[in-house]
Amino acid sequence: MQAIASIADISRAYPTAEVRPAGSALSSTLVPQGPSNVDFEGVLTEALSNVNNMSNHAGEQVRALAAGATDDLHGTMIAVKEAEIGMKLVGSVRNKLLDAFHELWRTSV
Amino acid sequence: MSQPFTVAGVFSALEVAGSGLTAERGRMNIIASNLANVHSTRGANGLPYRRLDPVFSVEAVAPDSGDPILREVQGVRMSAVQADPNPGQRVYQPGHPDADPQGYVEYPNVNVVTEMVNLMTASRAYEAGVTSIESIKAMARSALKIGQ
Amino acid sequence: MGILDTVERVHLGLDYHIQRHNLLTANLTQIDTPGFRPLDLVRGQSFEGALNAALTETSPMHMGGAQSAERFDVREDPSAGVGFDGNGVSVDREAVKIAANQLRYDTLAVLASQTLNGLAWAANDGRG
Repeated sequence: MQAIASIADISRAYPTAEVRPAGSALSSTLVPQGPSNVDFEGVLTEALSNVNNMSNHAGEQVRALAAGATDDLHGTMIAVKEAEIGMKLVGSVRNKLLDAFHELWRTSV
Repeated sequence: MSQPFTVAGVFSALEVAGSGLTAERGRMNIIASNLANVHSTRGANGLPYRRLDPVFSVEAVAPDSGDPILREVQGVRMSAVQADPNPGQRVYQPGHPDADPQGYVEYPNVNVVTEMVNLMTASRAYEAGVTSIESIKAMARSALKIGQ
Repeated sequence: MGILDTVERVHLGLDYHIQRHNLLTANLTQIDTPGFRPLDLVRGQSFEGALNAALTETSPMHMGGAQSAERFDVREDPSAGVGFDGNGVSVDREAVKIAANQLRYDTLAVLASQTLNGLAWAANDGRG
């Protein structure tokens, strides 16, 4: 499993759908063509843990700045913003999953 | 996410600029003293006033910092004030209370024009230091806008 | 450690910087007082002490306690120069200290705001 170390890696870890050329059946243009051995649960867990690390790192930087132990203004601002964006990305995925689940649940058989 | 060395902030730059301001202010004080005493033919030691010159030396801002660049950064300090040993003008004024046995009075070696030029230089250097400090503050303030 | 602990530490930092600002501007009013040594505000000396001196938590469910009753000491600034009348206040030196202190205050204020916004987002079920 590829190690996810930054926000760029998180977005790369979610394979996007490929659009097939015209002439293929409608269903096949909508089928995602990513690698079939992707462990989605593993990807999500690893993304969560990386976002957690980013969050902790940002928290450490902020505490150090508050105590006067560091002079790094822009580094702290960047770390905090990165952690916030990572958190929102994961939150967004979780919301989409929940919405999809609710939609499936409501499907009458 | 470790860095090879800690990132120095803007605060050392502020201290360096501040040391420049203090040094120029000290130079202006000395120039003011020279200008005020341009006609002082008798000082505390009985000799005419000799113009003063500031002596500046470098002073390291953060010699034991973890940042190798910051260790090289130097501020300035006025380490001494030197009297200019050159004699001043001798003017023939036999009635003057400070005249020597031949009737000559030795005036201070202060050249008003030179002092005024030095004063303008010091004033410009002071302004440059203030501009430098304002730029540093502006840089730090734009860092605060990251992610806003 | 938790977001609330971080916010509490930022709060203490803001307290320190505003009190220091008041003290430094008061120095400037004494610029002509003979024998006056400039004052400065000093807080906990070691970085380790500031981070680790927390109330001990007896259960992992408790929220961490930041340094309560943080004391700041008013001290004479030992590295100030001295004028011919014994006054040690230099306008430039105090102005630089005030500028640096103000920058730190502004940064902590922005960080407090961003941290609390993040908490509000999470409290809003992550939907903005």
